Amino acid sequence: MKLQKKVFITAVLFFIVFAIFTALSFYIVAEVKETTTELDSAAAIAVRAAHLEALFANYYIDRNEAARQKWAEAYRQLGATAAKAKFDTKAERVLLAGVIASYNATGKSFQAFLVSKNKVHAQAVIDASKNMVFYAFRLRRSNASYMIGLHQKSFVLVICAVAAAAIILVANLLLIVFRIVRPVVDLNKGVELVGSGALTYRVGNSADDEIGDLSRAFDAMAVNLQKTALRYKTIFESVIDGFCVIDVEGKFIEVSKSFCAMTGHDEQELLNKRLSDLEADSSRQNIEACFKDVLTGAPVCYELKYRRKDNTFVDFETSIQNLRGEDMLVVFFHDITERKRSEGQLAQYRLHLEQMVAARTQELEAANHDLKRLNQVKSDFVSMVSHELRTPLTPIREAMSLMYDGIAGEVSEKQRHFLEIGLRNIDRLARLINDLLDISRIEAGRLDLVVEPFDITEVVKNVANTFGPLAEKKGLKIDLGDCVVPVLVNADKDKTLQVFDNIIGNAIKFTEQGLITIRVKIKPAFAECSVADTGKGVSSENLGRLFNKFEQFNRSAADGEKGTGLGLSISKGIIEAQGGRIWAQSVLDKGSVFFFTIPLYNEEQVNKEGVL
Amino acid sequence: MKILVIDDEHDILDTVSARLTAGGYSVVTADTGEGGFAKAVKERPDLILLDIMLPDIDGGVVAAKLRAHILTKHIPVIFLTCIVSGKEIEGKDTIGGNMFIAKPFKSEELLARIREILGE
Repeated sequence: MKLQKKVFITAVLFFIVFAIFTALSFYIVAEVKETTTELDSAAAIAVRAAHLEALFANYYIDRNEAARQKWAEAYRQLGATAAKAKFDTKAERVLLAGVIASYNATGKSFQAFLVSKNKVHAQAVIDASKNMVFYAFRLRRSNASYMIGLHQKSFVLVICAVAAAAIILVANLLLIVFRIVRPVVDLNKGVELVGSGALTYRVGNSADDEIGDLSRAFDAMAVNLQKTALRYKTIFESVIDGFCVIDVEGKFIEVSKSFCAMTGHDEQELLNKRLSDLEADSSRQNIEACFKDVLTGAPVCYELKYRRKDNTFVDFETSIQNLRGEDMLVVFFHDITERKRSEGQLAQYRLHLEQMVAARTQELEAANHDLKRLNQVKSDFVSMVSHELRTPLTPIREAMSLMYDGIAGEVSEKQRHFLEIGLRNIDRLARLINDLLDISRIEAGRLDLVVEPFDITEVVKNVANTFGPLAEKKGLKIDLGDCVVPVLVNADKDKTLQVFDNIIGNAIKFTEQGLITIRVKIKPAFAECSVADTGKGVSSENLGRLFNKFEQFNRSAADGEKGTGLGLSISKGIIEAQGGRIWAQSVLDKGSVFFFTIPLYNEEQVNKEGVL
Repeated sequence: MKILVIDDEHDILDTVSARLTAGGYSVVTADTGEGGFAKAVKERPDLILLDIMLPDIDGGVVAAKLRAHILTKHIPVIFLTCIVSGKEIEGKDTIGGNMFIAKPFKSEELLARIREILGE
């Protein structure tokens, strides 16, 4: 039954009992009041009856009119009183009837006495009066004893009321104690226990009332709490990472199973330790110093080495953060031993790789050194060859030349002819050696350029002068245009001269009649030189091969000095080494034009390069 | 006119001497750098033909010594060289070599240069 209903019923009961007693009280009060009235009238009857009896005695003695009137008056009053009187009980009413009968008899006897005045009638009056007084006093006494009974009755009633009130009060107290206070105390205990973390505690109140409901609701809440706690615990425990709660001193307050497993300690052992006790190196200030800061600030994260129970070491990424508003810290441990090991391995691999690279570099350097040495050998070889080939050529040529010039005696025409062949071919061989040396330098990138500013028109004029006699001999004209304005270029003067030699030499060699036109045009950053002839020209398929090594066209047609087939190739090497370009245009049987560019002298740029 | 020819190749010394003698010059020869320098100091020629690649000291060094010596510093020098490249010539003309002639040279060219230098 619901407590509310119970309290309601108790209240109703209390009210009913209270009402009953109130009614009874009212009844008793009314009764007392009535009885008092009756008592008064009974007393009055008794007094008046006694008075009437006395008055008759007076009259009997005096026998006068005054006494008779007094008696009559008293008799009338008694009659009125008796007539008015009313009584509840039958006994009283019988007694009152006796009084009234005696009263009436007294009246009759008095009338008879008045007439007879004899003793008999007087005695009758006295007897009747005595009867009346007797009844009146009996009535009074009866009435008084009822009053006493009434008093007793009301006393009992009060006792009963007090007792009933006491019983209801005790019953209510018991009800309160057994049905409210005890369960509330139990519930309170439950609240305290569950609140302090004993989530398995249940109040277990099965009462069918509000407190029972409250207790069951509380138990349900505890179950949910336990479930939630278990869920979180399960989640936390199932995380491979360990975690713990520590106080500001670093003492463990709570540790996770995973953390126990990670460190090899059991929970109880850990709870007697501090976090710094597990650190591999005992510089505990380091980690503990941060606790206070973390408590009010941002989380921190360290990579620390810890000592397990079995004295092996383990690396944890340790992140410490505060528990909002609590004087505690939560620490998470992520095992990075493997990662550390990998890092170590990686570092080792890297070191190994670096060593390998270093070794390889050394090898390469050695190889490079070898190559350089080889290059040096080659270069030495080239100079050796050039020296060793040219050195014997010098006395050979000189000796033949001495004979040819007749210094060693008379020379016949035929001898002179053969000596001339010899000399010509010595010159050819010397040219070939020079060209081969040039080519080998160009190909080795060892063309030693002496770059300096000079006026290219000057060079053109000199070349034209040099070739003038040869051209004249063949009936050719050399047209220089108007080489009046100096054109300053930045190049190797001798090498540039060599290019002009080659190209103009070719032009003259392959042109039978007409004109050799030499022009220098200023283009952006370059001087563009062109040498045009009116010779045989080169077919378009041969044009592409013109600058290749040992390419010679119309060999048979060329007279005079035989070429080596390297001239244009060398020219190309020289021009390109100076940053220029060389190309040719040609129409067969009409003539060819050779173009090449030479960098212009740019004072600013040269200065800048000088600074750089 | 006296010309000193310094070259380690005796064939060259012979042929060049013959050519120069035929050209009307008196010729003195030396086949080492040091010997050539000593000859130059002793004979004081009007011109020196100097090979660059000598067995003892480089022709450039000989030229420098000649330039440094009071008795020889005014004597013009013609370098006879196998390789005429920029690098080889570089620096040598400032030492005082007046001219380079590449081997193998033509006799006419050599005589023309000699005449040019001696101002004939």
